[in-house]
Amino acid sequence: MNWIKYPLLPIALFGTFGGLVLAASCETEHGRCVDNFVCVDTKFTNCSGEKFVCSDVKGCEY
Amino acid sequence: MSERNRLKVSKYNHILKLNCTRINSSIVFNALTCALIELNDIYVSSLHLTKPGNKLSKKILNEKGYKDIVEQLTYGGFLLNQNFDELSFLRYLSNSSRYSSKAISLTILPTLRCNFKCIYCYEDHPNQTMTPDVEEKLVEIIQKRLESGSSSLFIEWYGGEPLLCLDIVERLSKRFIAFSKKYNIPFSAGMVTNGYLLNRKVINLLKELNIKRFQITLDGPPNVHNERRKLYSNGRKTFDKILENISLASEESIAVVLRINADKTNFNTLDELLNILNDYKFNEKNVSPYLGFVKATTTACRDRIEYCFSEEEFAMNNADFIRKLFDYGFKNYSFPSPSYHLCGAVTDGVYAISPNGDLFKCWETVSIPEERVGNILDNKPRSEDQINLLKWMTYDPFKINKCKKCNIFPICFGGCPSASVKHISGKIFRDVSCNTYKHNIYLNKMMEIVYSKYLRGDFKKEEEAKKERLSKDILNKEESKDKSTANSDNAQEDIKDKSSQDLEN
Repeated sequence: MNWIKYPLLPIALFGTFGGLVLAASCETEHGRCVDNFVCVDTKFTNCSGEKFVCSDVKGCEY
Repeated sequence: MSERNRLKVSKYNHILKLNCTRINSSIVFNALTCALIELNDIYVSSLHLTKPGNKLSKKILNEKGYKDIVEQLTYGGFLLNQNFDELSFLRYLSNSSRYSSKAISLTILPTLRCNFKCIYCYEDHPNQTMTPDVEEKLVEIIQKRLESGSSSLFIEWYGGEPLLCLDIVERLSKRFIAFSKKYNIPFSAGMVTNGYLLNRKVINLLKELNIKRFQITLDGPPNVHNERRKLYSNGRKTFDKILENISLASEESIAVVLRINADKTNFNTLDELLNILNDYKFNEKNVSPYLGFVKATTTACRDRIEYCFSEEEFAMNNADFIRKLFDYGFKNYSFPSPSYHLCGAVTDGVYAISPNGDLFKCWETVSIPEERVGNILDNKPRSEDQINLLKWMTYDPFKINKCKKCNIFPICFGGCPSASVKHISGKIFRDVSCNTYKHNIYLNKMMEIVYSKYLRGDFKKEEEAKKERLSKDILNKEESKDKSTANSDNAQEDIKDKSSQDLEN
């Protein structure tokens, strides 16, 4: 078995840290959270699809 | 393993048999976690990964070589505890994100005017520019939210054409930057612009105002684009100027999301556009093309309906297009991510603010006053506004039966909410629609591309490049502290000259 993409939403973390914020990271065509930064919210979307806000601007890579 | 801890197969696994390089393998994607693996077919069949809900026998877990595989598959969400309800998990995540976010995320429209007249635009363009009292109220509201504990601020500049009011963008951005320092919260911004009014001075100013990304549209090679996206004042061509400005933005390290609005009339010409982008070496820069799905969703663009693709047609064409992007060496790709966040239109505290202070939940409605959900200058809420707001905030994709059963629900969440809410204005025409991934051809193509990237070693290279960029960023930030903000006055003058020329002609 080879990993191509690790889970962006590791179920294993759910509960350990109390849920969403620490459990999620994101990656989209528009940008992604990198390193240990995590996704905290949507910003406004248009018909191109979801876009995300990182927990810290430094963690956002476009 | 006790009975309580028995494992079952996720309902969100997607399996693509590889039929070329590695004959005995498949790639497996899980739509809940968005993990992707290459797995020997022996495991795919013996663990019954194609059978949602299937419980694993104790016997197979004791077989040689299975322990580690099962652990990893569980980590990736392909297998899970038999009592774990994936749908409830999604609902929890979705509600947390939707109703309890501490991030402020606003779309600000400094003007509804536009210097373009695009044939498919869904907006009307009344002569409306943000007034000082709206600006002040907006700043006051954001400050109140920050004082009550909001943890970050993101602004999308939108319009109309936001660069027609660069002075407003600058004034407000400076206030937001000051808040970012005062409250020690991250602030960043993006801008949806047609790109025509950009130049080096403007770009440098926008950079200083924390704008990290432009969304700019090119609709095909020059002859096609120029027919679809003309200057409002005189119908003049816009392609060359926009292309030049994308190049400038890219040189100044502002990311460009390059939207290509596709329908039946231009899709066949997009190879020619890709060749042009390739000549500019945009594939080596931070320019990310993607295909926009043109839909005739409002009265302003309803007459375009006969030229729009069906969902399935668009999925097929988009699958071809992303393969071409990959072949041309563009680094962006729309690999799905968990989208339990839902659209901003149905998320608490997310608004688009029009120049007169009207609040809207969806971009498509910003020029339709009957669709507003409030006004920031109002002291008392109006019942019509509250009725509008409730229809968005009570939208519930978990009540849509076909969605609950759908195996891509975690990356789609019922598609565009606008299709499921009632629009009292009668001016919105959204059909209930699924995400492009619903069509296997697109999801399979995406899985193939990501697998090709993996085989080519792209992910390792990306990791290395990312580390290098982060080091450079730290150096650049130190240097930029020494730069003055003298660009501002010059840039404002440039825009005024150019926009008044275009609008008043």
